[in-house]
Amino acid sequence: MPQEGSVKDRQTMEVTFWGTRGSISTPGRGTEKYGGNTPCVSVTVGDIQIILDAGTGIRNLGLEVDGESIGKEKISRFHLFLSHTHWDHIQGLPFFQPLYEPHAHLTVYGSRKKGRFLSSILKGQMDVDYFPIGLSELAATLDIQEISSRVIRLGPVMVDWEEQSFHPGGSVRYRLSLNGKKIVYATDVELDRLYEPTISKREREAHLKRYIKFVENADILIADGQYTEEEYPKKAGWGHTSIPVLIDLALQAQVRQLAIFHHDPRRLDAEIDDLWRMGLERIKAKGSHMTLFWAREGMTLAI
Amino acid sequence: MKEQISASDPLSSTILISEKPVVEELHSKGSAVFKVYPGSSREKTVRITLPETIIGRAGECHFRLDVPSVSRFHARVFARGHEYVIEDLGSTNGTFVNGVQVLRCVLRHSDQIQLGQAKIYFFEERACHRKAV
Repeated sequence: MPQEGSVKDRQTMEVTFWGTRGSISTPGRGTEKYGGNTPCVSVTVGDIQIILDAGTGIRNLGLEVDGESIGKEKISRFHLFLSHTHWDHIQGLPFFQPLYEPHAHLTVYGSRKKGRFLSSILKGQMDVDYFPIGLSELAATLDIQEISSRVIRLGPVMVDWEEQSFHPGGSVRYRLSLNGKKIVYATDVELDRLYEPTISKREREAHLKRYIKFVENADILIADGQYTEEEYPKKAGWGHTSIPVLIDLALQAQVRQLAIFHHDPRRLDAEIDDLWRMGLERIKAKGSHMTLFWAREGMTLAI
Repeated sequence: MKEQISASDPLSSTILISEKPVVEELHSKGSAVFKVYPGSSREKTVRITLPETIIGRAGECHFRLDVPSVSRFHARVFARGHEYVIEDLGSTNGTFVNGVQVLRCVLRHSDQIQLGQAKIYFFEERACHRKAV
């Protein structure tokens, strides 16, 4: 008989993309291959469920957890790490099914560098003007924490983080480590800004050193590559990186797999296929064997 | 129903990320086929008819690939809602979709699946709405 394919041990990180689209959800035939839901990635290690961002993709994760648990012990403890609180990264949270179940427990982690408390921002999006159920009315236990310690340990998984410099309102990148394997989630950051003439050489080198050190040798880097080189100048200052800059930095950091993420809402599947082809040519021209792909909904990798 | 590809068939090494359609077509959800390109003029089409299709080298598999680098029970394809999902069954050489090693992946039209050295394409079957471009 075939063996069970799903990895439910504590030696492997199972990474699933639930939402890969940036800015706003884009349902429709032209985006169904790579997906139209906004950012949400889950990392499962045995019974530990880590979620990166709560874009609209988190709704399908909640439904899957609910459906999967029939006849099994339910995963009821979730750890949600928010890169930041822009709409596309939090808007799915009110639709996360486990929040309506009394046995569930969700801890939300986010930056403490906000002008307002993280809890008040999340509460605000569930104000009666925007949503019929308030944050305090949820059946699940909710614990909202502004990150204070450098490292968060969740069983065998170690999560560390850094504030990112180039995104309006700020954003955080996370690194998940288990048995020497590393997943880096670094979205919503405008790395092209490092090459602006207004940035001094010293400042650029300091930023680059910090970035490279964080993502270096990642088994997978999930990173924002929203714009093409041609599109970027018109979107400068919006907080997103262009594809060639991201690829070159990932190569420099000797990343093993680069998952380009936060796809532009205008980008159709066929256009992503073309960008992928061009990206592979760029990597080949540089003599690298790094795996490159554009993240797509419904894809699970074992790290 | 069992389908078998013999080891003597030279396997295609073509990597297909997407195909530029010559006609604009609307996909009909719910039915799909695998196409196996052995590299010769003959191609093999396997219709997916079961809620779960086991692919591998073993005789018990629904879709048999008699290729040494394919594990006995290599992967399964199952229906989930209106979609098909491929899942690796702990194979030795892995399951790849469009060149990326996956544990599990929702399949989309024209995806290339690689199991060991065997390359298969997944096509959703199309409705009769066709419009020349």
